[in-house]
Amino acid sequence: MSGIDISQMPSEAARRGEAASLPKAKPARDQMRGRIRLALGVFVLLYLIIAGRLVMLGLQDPASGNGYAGDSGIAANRPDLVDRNGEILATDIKRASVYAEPRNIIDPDEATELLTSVLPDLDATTLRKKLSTNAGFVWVKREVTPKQEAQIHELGIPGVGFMRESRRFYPGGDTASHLLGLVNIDNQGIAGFEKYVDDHWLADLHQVGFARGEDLEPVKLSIDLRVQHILRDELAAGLARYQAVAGCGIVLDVHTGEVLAMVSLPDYDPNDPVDANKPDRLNRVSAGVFELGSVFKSFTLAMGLDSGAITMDDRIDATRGISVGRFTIDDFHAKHRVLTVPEVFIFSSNVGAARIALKVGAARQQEYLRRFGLLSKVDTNIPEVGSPIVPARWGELTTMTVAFGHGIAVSPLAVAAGDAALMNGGLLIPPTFTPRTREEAAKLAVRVVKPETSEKLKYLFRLNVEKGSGSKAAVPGYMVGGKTGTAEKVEGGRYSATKRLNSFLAAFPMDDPQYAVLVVIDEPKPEKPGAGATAAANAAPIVGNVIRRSAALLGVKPRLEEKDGAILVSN
Amino acid sequence: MGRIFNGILLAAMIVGAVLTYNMKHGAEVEADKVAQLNAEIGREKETIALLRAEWSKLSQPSRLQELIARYPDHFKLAPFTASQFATIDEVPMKPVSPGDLLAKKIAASE
Repeated sequence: MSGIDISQMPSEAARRGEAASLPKAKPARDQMRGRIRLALGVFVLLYLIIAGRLVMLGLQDPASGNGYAGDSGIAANRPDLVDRNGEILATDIKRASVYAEPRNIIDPDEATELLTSVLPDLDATTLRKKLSTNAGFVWVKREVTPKQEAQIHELGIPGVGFMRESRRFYPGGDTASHLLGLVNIDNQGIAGFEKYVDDHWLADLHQVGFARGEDLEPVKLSIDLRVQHILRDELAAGLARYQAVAGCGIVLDVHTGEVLAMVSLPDYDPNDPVDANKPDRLNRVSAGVFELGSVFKSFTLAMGLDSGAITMDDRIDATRGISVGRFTIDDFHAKHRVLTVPEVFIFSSNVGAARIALKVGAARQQEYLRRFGLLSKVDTNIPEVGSPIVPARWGELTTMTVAFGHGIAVSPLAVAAGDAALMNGGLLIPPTFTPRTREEAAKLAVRVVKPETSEKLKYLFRLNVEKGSGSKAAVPGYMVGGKTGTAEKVEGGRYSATKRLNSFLAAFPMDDPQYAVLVVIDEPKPEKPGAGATAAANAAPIVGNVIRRSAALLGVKPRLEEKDGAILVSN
Repeated sequence: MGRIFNGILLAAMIVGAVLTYNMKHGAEVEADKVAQLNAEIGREKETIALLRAEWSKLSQPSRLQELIARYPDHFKLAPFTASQFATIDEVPMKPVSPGDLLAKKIAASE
């Protein structure tokens, strides 16, 4: 019917046969066939391209951008911080902020009227002025409630929009302020554990553009919120009772080095950190260094016993003070007699400790202090860590004063970690704020004293609470052991006779210590006139209260010799 | 013959076009729904985060302690003491009462 139909065209072989019979028709027919083929090819190609493009579009995800704009926040997302039991310590909450584009606002007066109807606390005059300009962007109000957001949305004012911002929220307020630290307006960690998270991995993650949305896993801390609260509550009550200016405390797991609670007072509310930068708000536990006084005798006796310089049966002459040059070392509760080694500890004899230190010798003393980690910065995971202040010259006098904790300033965190080493069998484990198992801790542990020395120290600690200066820290059922420290504060280059820094270093239960507790209070006054203001009178009872309230929460089972009247029956 | 064939092709084309359009429209509707649901999920997640933060604030130990101290008559709670702890092994067996023995005997004789 038509020459265009390709199926009716003869094959190549037939064409050759035909060629002889129809020589004249050949050029025209060939030309036509070629054109048809070309046209066909073009069309097939076109359709193939269209089909391919369709498949490509079909495989593509539908273009986002319409609808939800929750991720368009300015501030970066941060992971939640939770305590060891999963209680929230810090979280991000998204708040909408209202902005306006005055350039696109048709009637500033009407817009002002409508906006102030929902946000009555806005000043109408300033808002009207702001909206009447030709600016491209102005904030109307930062952080409005979801309800206000919905109401403004309903108003439908052209040129008014919302921007969602993440804001850090600490439900506990000031309960764990120093420990958690702070974030700045851009939600970047600038202090405490928040900074650790940033330094560790979050900042890198933000840099490469991950860490969007809500898919950040919460970060678990080793803190127990309940114990943290108890420590802060008791410390705050203690500061009020003894009118002290400051104080700090720490609870440490002796086997893993995990910090269960850490408090430094005065503190601040991280939700409104207006006074976080005041000088007295430093983190006293890790960043502050103090001459802690007699709690150092624990280390002096440990090094004496461990090095073999003394034995438990030795007698130390403490009949009178030691004079070195114009200094005299004397005892606070002088007994004026020869003391046994345990008596040196429980009477807290400076003379006795000084004589033990002399027997150990300056070189070995420094070596032991280094091993206890008291001569270097504590290796832990919050950024605020203070370097100890170590005497430049280590003469005989230094040896003697360091024996009872003067002339050397260390952070309470370092002392607590050293105490944990004395209690756990002699292994120094760097303190941490993240959960750690005993196996992991064993890999990091460094032996500082022999297990036998640890046993002797446990005995001395317990003895001191049973018979010595720590009796007010006793808690029935929990076998508390500890050492008091009453240090004179340095004021204007000399030791003050009236201003003291009191501390109590404890562990419990003493038959198998699980937790170390250290409480330090600064410049306590006597509770009532005439009462003492030594560590035995104020720091020790605070530790006792903390242990009484928190031991069960920490999973320590009480053991009472007699159940003081309680009778167990089944019914 | 050719006409019928062409007719069939035309019909097929129209049917195909209608079906394709329908499918495309359906996909668009579904995509909108997905976007809407995603937005809703996002909002729900935010609400959950907000509620969790609120719950955490309300259940703070410091707040609970203050409430208990303020309303002691209502809560009647006090810190526990060491003597209030015991293990199940320390609890003595329930003493056998004569009545129980008698009941057992009657049950056995029946």
